[in-house]
Amino acid sequence: MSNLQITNLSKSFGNHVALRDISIEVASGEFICLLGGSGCGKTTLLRLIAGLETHDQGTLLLGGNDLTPIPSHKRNIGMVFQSLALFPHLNVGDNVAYGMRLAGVSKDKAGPRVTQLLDMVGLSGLEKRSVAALSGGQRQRVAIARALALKPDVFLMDEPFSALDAGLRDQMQEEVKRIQRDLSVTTVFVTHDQREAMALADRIVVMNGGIIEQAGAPDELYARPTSRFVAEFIGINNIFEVSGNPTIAVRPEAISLATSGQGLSGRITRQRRLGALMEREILVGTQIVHQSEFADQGTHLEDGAEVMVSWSDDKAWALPQ
Amino acid sequence: MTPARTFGPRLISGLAFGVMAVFFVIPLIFMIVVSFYQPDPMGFYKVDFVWENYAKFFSSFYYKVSWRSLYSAIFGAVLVVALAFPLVLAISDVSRKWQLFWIILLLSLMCFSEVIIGFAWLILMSESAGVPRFLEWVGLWADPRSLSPSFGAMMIGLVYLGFSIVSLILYPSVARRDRSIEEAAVTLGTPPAMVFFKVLLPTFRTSLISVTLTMFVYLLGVFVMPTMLGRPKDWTMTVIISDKALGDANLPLGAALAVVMLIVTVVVLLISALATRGRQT
Repeated sequence: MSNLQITNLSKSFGNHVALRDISIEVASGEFICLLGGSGCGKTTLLRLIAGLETHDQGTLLLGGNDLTPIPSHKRNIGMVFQSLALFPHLNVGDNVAYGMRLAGVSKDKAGPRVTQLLDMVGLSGLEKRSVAALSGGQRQRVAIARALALKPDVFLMDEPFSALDAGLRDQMQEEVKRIQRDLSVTTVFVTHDQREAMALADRIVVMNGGIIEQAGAPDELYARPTSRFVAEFIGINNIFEVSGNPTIAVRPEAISLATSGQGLSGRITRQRRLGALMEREILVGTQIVHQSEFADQGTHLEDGAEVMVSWSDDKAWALPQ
Repeated sequence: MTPARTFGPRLISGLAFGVMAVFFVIPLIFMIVVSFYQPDPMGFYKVDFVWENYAKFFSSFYYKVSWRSLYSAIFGAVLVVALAFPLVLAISDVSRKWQLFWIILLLSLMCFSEVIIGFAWLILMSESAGVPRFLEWVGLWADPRSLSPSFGAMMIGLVYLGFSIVSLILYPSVARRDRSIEEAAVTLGTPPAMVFFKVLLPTFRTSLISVTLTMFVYLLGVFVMPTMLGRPKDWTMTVIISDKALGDANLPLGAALAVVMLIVTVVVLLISALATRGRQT
């Protein structure tokens, strides 16, 4: 079994501490997303698992074996890089077969496996195509097939879809999820996009400043973020500080607006319709409150309208300071 | 588009064409014309149309010299690129500050005139000072002799001349390369020591070939290094041409030899261009 156990892992670059005492366990076949902004340490963690950097402290176990003394080229990991890093001098088939050919698999034996991998990623028959002649999505698929060719113990992906347009990204996310489920390969996926993490992960690990803020299933994280950072990162941006009380967080879709009645009085400063959703910003005192609702279910309100902002107490929760 | 906006660029490209015509095309045509004239021992040439100058090329001497020129230039070009590429890779991996240091150093090497460089190497390779003496001092050479003139000394001179040029041509693309391609190769099982041969050499193949060809053409025309550091039997066509044209005042023969070398160079470049294009698709 290839479960990944990371214990008290630390890494610094000069004076900059990239990772501080990180501990996390990834079950065999689990799909986790490392989520965070730039410089949070998520890519460093991925590169430590890959052996492209060496950690300063802590242990890194894969299937119970210590990875520390094993150099990157002997770790049996499959990695998809942000730039994809396809070999420009090799065609699609040779890119996918690269690892196998290097491991001494004959051309005849590698052939059927390459065909199988290209079928899996939906690129059947493109073996002889130059990688320069591929579209963005096709290049992603080659990178994925190449990384999975040697049946890696752990599959690592470093923001592979950040350069794709929204539609293609959704499609690739679904395919990656399907392939990962079919192969049940332990997967660590790095992203800064909370929607992507929500769509893909069995468990999301939110990182900030080299530490893990919170790890949990997407629903759990969304329902009960344990810190202000996680709440904001995950898209819950109504956070009210009540003097003497813990901070209160309310999701945008839990906010109700009314033209009269009880609540906090505010004024609509901005509203935009995004397909089925209507998103509004309401200025309450000095704070902007974000509200969203299905456009056809809410009341029609003009820009600048005076409204009463309220929420039911069971939709709000307290965050530790 | 307004006339004012098209006039500027056209003027500039017109000027460029004019300069090319005056300094390159006209002398070339003149050289081709002269190559058919009769040599005149008393003057430079007599106006005529003869093939005699070209016929002389195919006498064994000039034939041998041109082969020697070709392989000296090819060998030198390959040697320069083989040495400069790993160095540029190493430079691209050091810190920004040190990269700048190395680039300025390479640039400053280009300031020296060929003659000064030639003299410096003459001294370094002479019997009384420099490398032979040093080798004697450390006990590696019991009976030190001067290392120049020789084919090796000439090669060292050629490599020195080309080194900065090749390094500076290669540096931008090497420094900007996508390093994750090398990392990808490692994660796929390539031992780090093999990454150079498995990935770097193949990905830079096209630029390496084109810079080697550039160097080949450049070294073919080098004059000072062969005369200073090479033996007469190492002398390249460039030296022979100036020897004929200026020393023997036989401008038509010099011109004919130059035209032949030009044709040979163009043929070599065409063959290489076709070969690279064929393999890329």
